[in-house]
Amino acid sequence: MLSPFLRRLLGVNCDYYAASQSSRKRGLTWFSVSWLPNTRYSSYSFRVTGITRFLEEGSAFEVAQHMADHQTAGRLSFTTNVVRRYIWKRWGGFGTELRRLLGSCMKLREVTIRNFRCLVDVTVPLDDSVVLIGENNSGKTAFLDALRLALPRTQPGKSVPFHEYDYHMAQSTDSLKTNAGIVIELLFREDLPDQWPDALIQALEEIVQIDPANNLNSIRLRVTSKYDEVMTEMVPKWEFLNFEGHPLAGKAANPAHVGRFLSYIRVFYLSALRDADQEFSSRSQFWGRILRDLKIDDAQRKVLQTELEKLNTSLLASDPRLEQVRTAMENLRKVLTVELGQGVAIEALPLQPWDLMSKAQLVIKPCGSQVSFPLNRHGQGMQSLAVLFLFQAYIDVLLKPTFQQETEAILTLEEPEAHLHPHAARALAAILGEMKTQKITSSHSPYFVQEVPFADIRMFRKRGASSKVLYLRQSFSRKIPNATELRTFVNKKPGKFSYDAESTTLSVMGRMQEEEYRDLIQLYPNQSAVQQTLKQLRDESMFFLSKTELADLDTYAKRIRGEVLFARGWILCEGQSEYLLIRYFAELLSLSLDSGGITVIDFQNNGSIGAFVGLTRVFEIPWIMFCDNDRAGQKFVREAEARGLTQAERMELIRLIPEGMDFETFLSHNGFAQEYAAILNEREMKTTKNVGDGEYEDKLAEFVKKDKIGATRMLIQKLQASNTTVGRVPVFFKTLIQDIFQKVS
Amino acid sequence: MRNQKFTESWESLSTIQCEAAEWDSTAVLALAGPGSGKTRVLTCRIARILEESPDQNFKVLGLTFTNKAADEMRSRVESMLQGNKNRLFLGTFHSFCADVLRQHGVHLGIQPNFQIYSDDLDLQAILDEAVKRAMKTSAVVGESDRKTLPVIKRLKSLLVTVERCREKFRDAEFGERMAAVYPAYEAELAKRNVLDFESLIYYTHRLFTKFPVFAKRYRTIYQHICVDISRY
Repeated sequence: MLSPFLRRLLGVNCDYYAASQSSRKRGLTWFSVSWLPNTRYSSYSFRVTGITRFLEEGSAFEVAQHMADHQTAGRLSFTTNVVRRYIWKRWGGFGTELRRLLGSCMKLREVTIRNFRCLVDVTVPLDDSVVLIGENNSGKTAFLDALRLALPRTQPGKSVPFHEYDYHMAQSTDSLKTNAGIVIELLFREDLPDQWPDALIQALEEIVQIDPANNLNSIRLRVTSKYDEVMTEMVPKWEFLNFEGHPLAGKAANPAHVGRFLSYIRVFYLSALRDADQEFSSRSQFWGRILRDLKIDDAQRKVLQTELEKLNTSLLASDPRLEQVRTAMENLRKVLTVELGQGVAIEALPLQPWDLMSKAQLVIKPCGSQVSFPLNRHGQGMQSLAVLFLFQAYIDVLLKPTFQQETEAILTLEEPEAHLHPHAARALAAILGEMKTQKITSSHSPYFVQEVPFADIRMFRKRGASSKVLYLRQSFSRKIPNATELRTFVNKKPGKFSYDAESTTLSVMGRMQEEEYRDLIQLYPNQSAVQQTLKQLRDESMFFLSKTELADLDTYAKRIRGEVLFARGWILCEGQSEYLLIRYFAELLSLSLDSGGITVIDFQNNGSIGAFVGLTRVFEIPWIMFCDNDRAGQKFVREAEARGLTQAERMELIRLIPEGMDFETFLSHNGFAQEYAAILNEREMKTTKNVGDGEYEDKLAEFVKKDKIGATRMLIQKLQASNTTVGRVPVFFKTLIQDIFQKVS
Repeated sequence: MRNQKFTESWESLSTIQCEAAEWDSTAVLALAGPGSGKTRVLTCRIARILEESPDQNFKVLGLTFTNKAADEMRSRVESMLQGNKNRLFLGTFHSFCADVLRQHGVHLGIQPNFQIYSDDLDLQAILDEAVKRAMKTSAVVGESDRKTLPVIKRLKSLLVTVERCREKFRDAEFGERMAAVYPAYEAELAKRNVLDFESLIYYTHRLFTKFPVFAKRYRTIYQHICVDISRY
């Protein structure tokens, strides 16, 4: 039986279908489908292979079924992502219907901003949903504002949308006249060929560019604002670019295209302070629009009006004093010319349906209450959430009818978690994930970020007067001259290496291994410049995190993900006992890890050390790692080193516990034997060795290791009870803690 | 709503003309002598197509050989329409090709702000320069090759590429000379960011054959292509 979803994929208008599943083996499934010949496809059969590599269990049919379930549950966006990222490539040649169905819209894929506030030069790739994080003042709001200003609601005129302070100025001698000017470049691009609907391409024909190398349509818009010598003022300019980055000439340069383009892409901005009073007023961007668009036919309006008048009369009749007031007011007639009879009337309620609707308000009955309250009487969290859902309702109901069938919205959202309970913040992340529009969210909430995949994070970091944006990358590219053997090399490793001869760009989608690097170097003997570029490419490719590693991090490090990304520095240690003790030692040193923004990560419980070191490289987080000097410890060190650390970095950042010891043995030998002995005593355990015997400390440690965490907790309690001083912190840990503080500051 | 002009023009058509203007299922060729109303059929046809699809975005491409014919046709179609005027490209083959190249010529190395030289005097000056250059590298090229402008024009209008120029001549020696002059001429044009009239069609053809995705793109935009040929 073919699911309704698959039916829709195959032929939107088909009224008869027959499906058979002729063979079903693991990873290889045939469907053949045929239906009446007056539809677009008279018969169609297709084969799906390799899907099992994605879900690991079940067949393609189950995958499709799975997709269908989500589809019927209204979770199309999930399906979209699944299909887009994993399945579509294998189903190429399927016709355009599937692509259309699964997100045919114009999406913003890359933003470049120059000289706008603290964003001096950043390029940020965007996915359907990205989350901006970073400390205050690092440029998140500037980024969202830049988008909003570059994509205004209406055809931009001559007035400058930018404020004087929007132009980046670092020196006191800088002025608007010397300023290089603001540049905002937006790239809208298809993810797959033929993804955008024909109607969109027809309407924006002059500005849609197509790249013959990959057959992808794109639109590149550049907004600049710079001091103009002739006009002696700042002049803004909107222009579309060709794929080489030059402005389009001829008919395509007509400014009317900007207005036309803007009717296809609408940016909505919800600030951190989402005031329900304002957003639910008749003048608001969503609610007001919904009310104004209310469609009541004339017959029904008459009925409503009569009803309202009747209601009005009976309301007025309920208290005779109202009639007295009205009669008194009739005296107006003595001064002004007023209609006789009903010239003066009291309207208890608006008699026009549209007037009545403009006073419409949302009321919500809280759980366990009998009374409905208007929204603005509810808490901030409820108000804030309501505004978000209002936006969704607007998108679902009014966006396309108001603009074009192909119009897309970009939602820029600041701190959606504001005023929300941790669980509500987490739930909100999931709800946002299901919204079909493209979303750019900024967040300060670890709870919210917990639900966001690492790949969707864009981290803003302040560097001096400017900011940079960091993110995970799936491929790394450099310009490398062509060579015949290069093609052979690339062909041997499809999926990992690729070379585009037209733009002479070599890309690697993974970590470049040492032998691969050597092979490449040998293709360019005596060309030190090329070799240098290849070395850069290799070093950069060490930032790569594989899908498995990301999945591991996403699974294990979920609990701490929010926190680790907001930290200013990391101490990586093996397990929980190290975690507990290092925090206690810092306390003794009067260095507060929390106020320093330093997070201690017990990496064994949260993923692999390699993945964490990879993350530190991507997000440029200062870190120090320490581990036992045993065989397991050596393995961790090798794993960390494989991330392309230099010798100097390795010496500085990876610290093995001295003298070949493990954590407990080291403590036992370095002044904590007495406490360890006391702990064993309490547990009524005895050691055969005595103080002064050569192996006394080692034996103590061996016992302690039987319950590491418990013993560590007791150790800390004992130390706290005896008012331990800073002098007892071993030098190894003291320097380690001091060093990380120095790196962070 | 059809305006008065539309109705009038439509009513003036004979039954067979009407049938041609309304034909929808396949391509249609109207073959008739001069003055028998081919252009009128085409005009009504274009107006009808646009008028029947007010909420669609596709465009109609109308091509003629002369600017005069295009202008006349445009004013007639526009007088028959209420809106939808932006959805019509009516012009000569050359003006359409110039548009295509301004938009996408960059993929063939043509800058969007190219100039068009239509005067033979300009082109002759370029050819002179080209011959001078070619003489430096090739022994066979001589001063007399300055007279080959019509040959080059002919080669281009036959869509002969620089590489395949040599084999197109029965006279092998002349072929050899043209194989040196033709590329030199093209290089001189490119250096000045200039296209001659023949280049417009030549390069558009090249673009559509080298990158079929552009041909597909124009098929998407122009769902109807109407050509008015008054000479052949």
